Amino acid sequence: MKPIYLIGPTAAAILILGLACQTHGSGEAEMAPLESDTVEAAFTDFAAFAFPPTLPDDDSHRDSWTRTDCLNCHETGIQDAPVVTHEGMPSVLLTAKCRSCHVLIPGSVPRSMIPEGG
Amino acid sequence: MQIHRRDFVKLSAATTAAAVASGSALSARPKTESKDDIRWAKSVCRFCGTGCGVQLGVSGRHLVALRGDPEHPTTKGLVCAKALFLPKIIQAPERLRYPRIRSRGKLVRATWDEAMELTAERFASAIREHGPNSVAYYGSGQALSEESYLANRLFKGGIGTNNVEGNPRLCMASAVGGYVSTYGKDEPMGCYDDIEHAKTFFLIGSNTAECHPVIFDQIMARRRVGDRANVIVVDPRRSPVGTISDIYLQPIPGFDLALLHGMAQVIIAERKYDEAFVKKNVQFKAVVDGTPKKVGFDGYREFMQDFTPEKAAKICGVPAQDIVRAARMFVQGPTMSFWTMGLNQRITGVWANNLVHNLHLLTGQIGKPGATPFSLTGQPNACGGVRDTGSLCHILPYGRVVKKAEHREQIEKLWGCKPGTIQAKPGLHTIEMFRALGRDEVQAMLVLTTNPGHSLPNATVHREAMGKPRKNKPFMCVIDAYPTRTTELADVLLPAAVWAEKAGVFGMSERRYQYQPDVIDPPGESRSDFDFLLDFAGRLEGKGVVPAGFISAKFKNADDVWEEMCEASRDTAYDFTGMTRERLKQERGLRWPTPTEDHPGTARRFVKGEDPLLDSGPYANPDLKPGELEFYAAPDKRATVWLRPIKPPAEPPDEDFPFVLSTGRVLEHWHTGTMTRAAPELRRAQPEAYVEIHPDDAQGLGVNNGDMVRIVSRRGEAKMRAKVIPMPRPGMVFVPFHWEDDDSLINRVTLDAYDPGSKQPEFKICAVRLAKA
Ligand code: SF4
Repeated sequence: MKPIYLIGPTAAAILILGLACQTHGSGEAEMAPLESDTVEAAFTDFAAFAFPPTLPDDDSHRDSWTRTDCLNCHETGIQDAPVVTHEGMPSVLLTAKCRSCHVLIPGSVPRSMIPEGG
Repeated sequence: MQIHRRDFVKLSAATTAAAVASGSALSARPKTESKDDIRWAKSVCRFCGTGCGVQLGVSGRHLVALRGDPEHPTTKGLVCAKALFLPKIIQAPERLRYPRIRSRGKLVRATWDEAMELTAERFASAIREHGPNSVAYYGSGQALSEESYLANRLFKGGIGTNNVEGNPRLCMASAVGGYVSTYGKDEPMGCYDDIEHAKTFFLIGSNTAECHPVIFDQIMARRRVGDRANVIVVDPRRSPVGTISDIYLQPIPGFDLALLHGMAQVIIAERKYDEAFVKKNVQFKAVVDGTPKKVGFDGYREFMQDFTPEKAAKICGVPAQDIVRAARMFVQGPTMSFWTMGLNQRITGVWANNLVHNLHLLTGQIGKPGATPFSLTGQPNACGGVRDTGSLCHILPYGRVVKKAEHREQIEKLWGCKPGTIQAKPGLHTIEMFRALGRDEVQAMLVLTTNPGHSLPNATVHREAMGKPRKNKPFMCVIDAYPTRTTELADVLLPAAVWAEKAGVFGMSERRYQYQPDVIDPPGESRSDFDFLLDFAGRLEGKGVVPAGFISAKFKNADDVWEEMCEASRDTAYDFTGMTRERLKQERGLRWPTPTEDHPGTARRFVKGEDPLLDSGPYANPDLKPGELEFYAAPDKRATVWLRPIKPPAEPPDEDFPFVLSTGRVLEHWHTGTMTRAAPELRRAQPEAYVEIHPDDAQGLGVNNGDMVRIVSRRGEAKMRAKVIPMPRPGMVFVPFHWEDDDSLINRVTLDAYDPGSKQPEFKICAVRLAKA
């Protein structure tokens, strides 16, 4: 193992983006399932909380290039959109457009479009 | 463990929520690291030239997480998705692990010693039999600065050939040509701090939202605070940047020079130029009969009569009133311009760069907080690694050129070469280097950390040069960390350590040099490019084609090389002799010039009170007052406003090939995609190539969204799905170039005509026809 250059207090861990981007909602899946695909790698060697949640793939998400585009729904919760708070995230990060960090998953749809029991 | 995606999402959401609620570790999942177990190290993102500061989360022997570094002075904690997924990318199963040698057409496993000995012998025999110019090096803006410097030293000073090139020729050469011809030296004078001070942003030929997301985020932030900033966007394709523009201009591809002249003409006609600044700091030049001649301001004004808004509009296709609006907004400074490949990847790339500089020089929008022309770079170390270290065929370290005897002598002395070792004639530039390989004139080539088999324009021809079996086929040694369309062509393939697996310096777009530590071990038998180069040099010394001890006696590690690099910068316009290794390890990078160990680095060059080179050393001027500006590296200490004519693209559309093809990038992938496709999330976000077609054109072609379409040029063809969308101008199509299968490899279609000054190819414009597949 190579030497590690330690920095900063671990308290700064609140910056971890995935953690900060958690949604206030039912905690249910936000997307329709994809065809079977191994996601083993995502579980094994990585800190799962370090990766920001993905976005459903529809026009409104694909074409959302400014924060305002996203917050129209995600601040108010309209159309069953999960309300995001980005708690603990420094203000500079709140200036970023959502797609800087959140990537689309093609084929997935917003949960409001998943039929009952789907 | 196989987990269905739905279960994954549930589990992920649940554990994230749990972590938030308790603020504690995620302990339920085997092998998933707890955030409290993670040790964090400062480093730098290894993708674009924004150079975002990051913190690497290391647990055990693994890199498990990455986050933005809030203490980073310019990016302040911002990062984009590409960086966030780097831990997965760097530890992906795709990584190359062992050396391979081609045997009976196949790459088979070998030892490092076998592979190195074969490589050294093939280079040595080529040099002995055909001379030093029969070998070549093709490097990368992703290698560490120390690696590029060492390779340059070995080839130019050790072997004695200037056949030293790198992929920045494909992306930044026109920007270099623009800076050098305008100000006398390369690299921006401003910095990212200027974003906070700018009142107007002029974004031309730059899809900043996707290619430099953090810069775009900072521009957006500037639009939200206080005195809201304006944004002018110029791009034939309405990229996502257009969503925040106050003025959006969509010129005909290749004719934006008329637009830039038109804006300058309005500024002059409306007397909105800065007369005092122009008088003191600017000269006007035109090329007459192949020679630059001074023409004076009156000559320039007369030249500009051909570019009144009405005349310019006819050439560039942008309405005259929009040209006037853009010019008037531009002068509402402080104005910061950003551009990248849309200007650079053109046969008029240098001229287009000149004309952006012209606007800043006429209006005095330069050298003040928020006022600066700024070329963005696509790679993490095109600036510090290749441009600054002089690792291209015509230059030497830190602003020197091979053509100048004085510069060659300085470097020969520093390197300990026999006088006359460095050739005065520039070597082969990238396109000509690969053409010479195809003619078997270059007999041995080293390709390091780059993927020319995918990234070169007119790729089929150059791929054949690299890999087509033939008698006397040149030898190709390729070093990379991932399998690519180039590694498949190698005769020797070596596995490379990357990024967090090796320590060294990256120099990003704002002259900031940043140190990245090695925090994990490379996979398998991978070694850093630096280790390879040391080994390679030692073997070439042993074979008598490089003077004994030229490299091996001088350097044991990258720290030794850094010391010599600092020395090479002494008394140049780059002077970073005060940037010690220790300082770089401690600080979040430093911007040169940094001539003394207590100097904090320079935000704005050429400005008295900010640039230390105006206080002491060869460029000092004690008569200047604080805040005054002097272009000390330019002839007569004046920047040049160039009178450039309009020149059409090398291959305009015609009856047979009626569309213009332009290529570019998407946010989730980076360049040839070999790394970003290794992260499952990024791969799935943008899984395949597509061609954007304007709805009017799609209708004419009978093409619907999702149809397979053939894109055919005079050189080759590609096949991919249509995305019918009003982003490109009618008559233009756009293809991202990240995908590598034969159908998606769009560089089989693009053109390798190049700018006669910068030698940068015209990726952005070639003629194609489209048909439903
Ligand atoms: S890719 Fe560029 S913008 Fe994104 S994190 Fe890396 S350096 Fe920053």
